[in-house]
Amino acid sequence: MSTDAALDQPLYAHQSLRTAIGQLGMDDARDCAYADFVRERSHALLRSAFLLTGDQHLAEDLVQEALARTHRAWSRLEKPSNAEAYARKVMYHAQVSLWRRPKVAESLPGDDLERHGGSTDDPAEAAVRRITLQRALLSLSPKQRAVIVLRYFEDHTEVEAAQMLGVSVSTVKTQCGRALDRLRTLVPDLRVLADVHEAGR
Amino acid sequence: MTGPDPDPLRAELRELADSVAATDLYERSLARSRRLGRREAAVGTAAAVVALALLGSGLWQLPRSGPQPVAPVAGAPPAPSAPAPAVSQRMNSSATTKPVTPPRASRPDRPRPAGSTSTPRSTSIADLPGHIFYADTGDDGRLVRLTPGDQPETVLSKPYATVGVSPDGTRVAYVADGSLMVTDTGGGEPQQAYAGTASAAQAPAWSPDGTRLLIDATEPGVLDVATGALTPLPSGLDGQHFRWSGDGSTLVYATAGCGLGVAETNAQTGTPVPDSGDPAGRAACRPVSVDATGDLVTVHLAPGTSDPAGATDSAAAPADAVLDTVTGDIVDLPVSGRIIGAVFDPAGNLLVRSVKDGKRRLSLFAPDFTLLLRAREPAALEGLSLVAYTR
Repeated sequence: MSTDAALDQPLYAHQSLRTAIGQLGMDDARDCAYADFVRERSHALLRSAFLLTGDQHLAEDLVQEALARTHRAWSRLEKPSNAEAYARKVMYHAQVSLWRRPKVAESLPGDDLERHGGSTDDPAEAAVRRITLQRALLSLSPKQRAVIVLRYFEDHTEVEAAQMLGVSVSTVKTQCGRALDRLRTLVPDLRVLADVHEAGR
Repeated sequence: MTGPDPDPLRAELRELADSVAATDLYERSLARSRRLGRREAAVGTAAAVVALALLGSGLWQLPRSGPQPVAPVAGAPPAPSAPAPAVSQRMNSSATTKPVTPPRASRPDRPRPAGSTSTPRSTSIADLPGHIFYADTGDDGRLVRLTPGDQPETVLSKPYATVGVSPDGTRVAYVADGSLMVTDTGGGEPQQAYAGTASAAQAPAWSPDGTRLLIDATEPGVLDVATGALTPLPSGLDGQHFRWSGDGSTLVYATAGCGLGVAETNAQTGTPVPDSGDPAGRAACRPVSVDATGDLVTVHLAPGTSDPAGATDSAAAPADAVLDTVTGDIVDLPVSGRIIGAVFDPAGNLLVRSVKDGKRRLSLFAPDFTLLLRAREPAALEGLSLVAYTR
């Protein structure tokens, strides 16, 4: 495969070829790997960060901080696949301990209708539901919110969530139970969640 | 165990997450990374100058130039052979003329537990001196103080991310919503000591004299509580969970990949603690408390991991072992049952919390591992985590 041909291949094929032929120095290779990581994974990180912060700009700041610290640590990562786990751990720790709890969303239902991307047939109804959940999430403590996102958005087990947050499994269970209780109270559509927090994996 | 699958919540969360707009964060994150790098480079030099100046002036040890506090155990003061006062005096006398000599290499005869047949000098919890602090992790970390002879009392009920109790037990530093707060355990309104504190990898660690706090601002640094001045740690000390030795001479900290490091407080870099290998494959991922001189550290043992962020795991879990910082060996404590907490006080006395057959016990060892006390723990503290033992 020629270099020109490689340029038509997916990004990872580029990277492999470039690395294999040794045309780039270690720093360049590292920068390329980091760039690939950011461009492939930052939106996934942003989605979690948005649930954690409830705000586009706060989410961007949170992910930016996590990415920057991942970049600082890049040479210590044993393999690039560790990068996302590292970034997520930084992000969750920063969210729980550093980022101030944002105020409950001040926008009213309907303000964000044009941004809605849900799957319902009724955009207005979906937007109201989304904003109701957003407000309910923001009424939780940062730790409770982090537990909910880890358990029910990222589908981590209680043990994994505890490791990610650096807390005990019992804390995850307790915080999750309280968070679900509150969500059930604030979000009518979620009342079917009766006792779901007891279904720990 | 199974139960209803919370699909409605999962679906709603996915839908809400769809609201976020895609953004290219590559350049922004690189710019932030460069700022962090410049800060690390700049503060390394500044911290070296400050550390040398402090050491040269003797100010570092000034608050401890008076009589050493003695743990008032009834009928059983710490043994005279305890290493802490001797080392502390040696540091005072040498601080004005030469760098501190690493204390560990010159003391091959460090005291260690004699065996499992020790008889405690007291079996009454009322004889335990000082205060013990516990956290109720199931209640946002509510901090409880046990003063033997009295009922446990809640001294901090506000939610916090991490907490540190001052060596004299009179103050608590904690991080809540990104701010470092300090409050008296006797009551009073919390005061903000610093804004913008990332604490998950660094609980506020009080200096032995109680005037400074080692915190994680943007990077780990030492905060003068009275003035609010923050002196970042040298960039060569790349770690988390920094803890001070009781004489202020040594920092023990967690390194990436579940290791420990030791550094003199005036050093630019640290020395890794050897990994001697735990038979169960566990690693000392996080120091909890350090003895008087930096020889021994209580640690939380966790499954070994290659995860580079592994050192931040289980940040709230209590220590369950004591480790020799010179050899990396786990010290075999003469305690029956399972250890569920272990903390040094600044004088090097070691309080061990253990459970056997459902019964929880507290054991207090002097720095030479004389068993001073072993007693049942009050029932009200069941389910709480041992945080600190103070004067």
